[in-house]
Amino acid sequence: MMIAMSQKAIDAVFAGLFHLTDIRTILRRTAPLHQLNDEEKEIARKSIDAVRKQLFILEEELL
Amino acid sequence: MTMKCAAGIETRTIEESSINLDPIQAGGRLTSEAMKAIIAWGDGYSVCDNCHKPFRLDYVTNPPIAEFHADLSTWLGMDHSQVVPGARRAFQEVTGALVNKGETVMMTGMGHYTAYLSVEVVNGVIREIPPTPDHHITADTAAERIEAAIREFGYAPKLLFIDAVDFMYGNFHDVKNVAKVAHQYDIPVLYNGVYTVGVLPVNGKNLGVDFVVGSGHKSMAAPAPSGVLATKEEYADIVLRTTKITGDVTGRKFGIKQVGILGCALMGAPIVGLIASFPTVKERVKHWDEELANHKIVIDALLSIEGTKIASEYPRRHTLTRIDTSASFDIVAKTHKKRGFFLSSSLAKRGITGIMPGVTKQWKFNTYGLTREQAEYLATAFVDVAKENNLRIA
Repeated sequence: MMIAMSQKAIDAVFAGLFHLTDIRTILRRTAPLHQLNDEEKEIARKSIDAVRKQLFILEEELL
Repeated sequence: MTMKCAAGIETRTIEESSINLDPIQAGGRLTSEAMKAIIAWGDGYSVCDNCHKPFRLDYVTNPPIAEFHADLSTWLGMDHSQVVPGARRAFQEVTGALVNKGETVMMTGMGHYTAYLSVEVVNGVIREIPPTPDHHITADTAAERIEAAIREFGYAPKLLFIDAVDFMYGNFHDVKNVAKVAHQYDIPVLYNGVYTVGVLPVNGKNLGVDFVVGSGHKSMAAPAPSGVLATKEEYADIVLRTTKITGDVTGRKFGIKQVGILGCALMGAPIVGLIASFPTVKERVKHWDEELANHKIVIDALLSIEGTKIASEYPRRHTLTRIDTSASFDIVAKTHKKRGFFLSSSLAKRGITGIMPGVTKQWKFNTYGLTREQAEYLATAFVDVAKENNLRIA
């Protein structure tokens, strides 16, 4: 018997937290002024987009 | 209002909001890999999901704990290794195996208190190797003190502790030659690498020591409590021995659990954090020169403030430094309305923390892990605080 669960939702939670962790790391590396260079901005941009994507998956899966 | 992460517990954001100079915090800051691993593996016994026969932590392959142990021994240039809940537990495991009641252990006068307590817990006796006036432990002094202990007790001490770098001054000590001296008396040598293992290259065989101890939470970017103990083959069967005890009524036995650390010693967040950070740690020790270059930027700025001296050995070889500002910032403190608190307060305004509030005579700081930009910012901040308080800059 297959149980009903949302692996997609589980994966999205962890992926979202991992991308947020990447942003956390940038905050640490740039403390206290948080003036990001171009490379850091690009990583932050990609991470923010990825978090948004995971949130969208969670809305689709759980709500 | 302060953000809470649980009832009564503030969210700790000091590393995200500030440059933290606290000497004990620098090498233990988590890598992003460790943070992610802890998110997934933080539950109590998480790493025991896949524990099968022979039911011992260092045999678990998912997460790769077995592989980590093998890599660790090679990386440290030793034969066997074990994870422990902090360096202090490694000290205790070694004294527990080698030192009996009333027996002598040589300790450097600059050792951590837990090293002393690890002897006390087995009812051993300490004999110290005093530091030189410039705060170093030398082979000559070690030889004199070993001889004195032999005259006093009639036999050679059972163990010698030597700090690679001490916590008081961040000075390097003559481990190789102290170990050579100790071995002339057949005394095994424990290398305390809590400020070296994980931040700079360490090879126990090259150093000629019998045990290498490292701290996960002090220098290997892992959560507390975590640490490592690596041994030479010669002592593995003694220190890492497996249980032989049997219940007299039940006949129970306990497989191959290791006695000295009371079986499996590190589960959940500490061990996965240690493992997850390990690839980054192995890489970062190759860049110690960059850390020293960043440290120099800050040291040069501090030395440009008239009256400031370095209390540690100089030129600096470690990123943990004791600075003497009794003829600079401490003079300001005498008349400043905030007294000695002006320094930590002025730094806090600039997003810099970790220096003991109120202290302006001698204080310690550690720049390990700062980026070049952060080191430059820090250097400028020290000079600005000095200028604000009318200290002369060279």
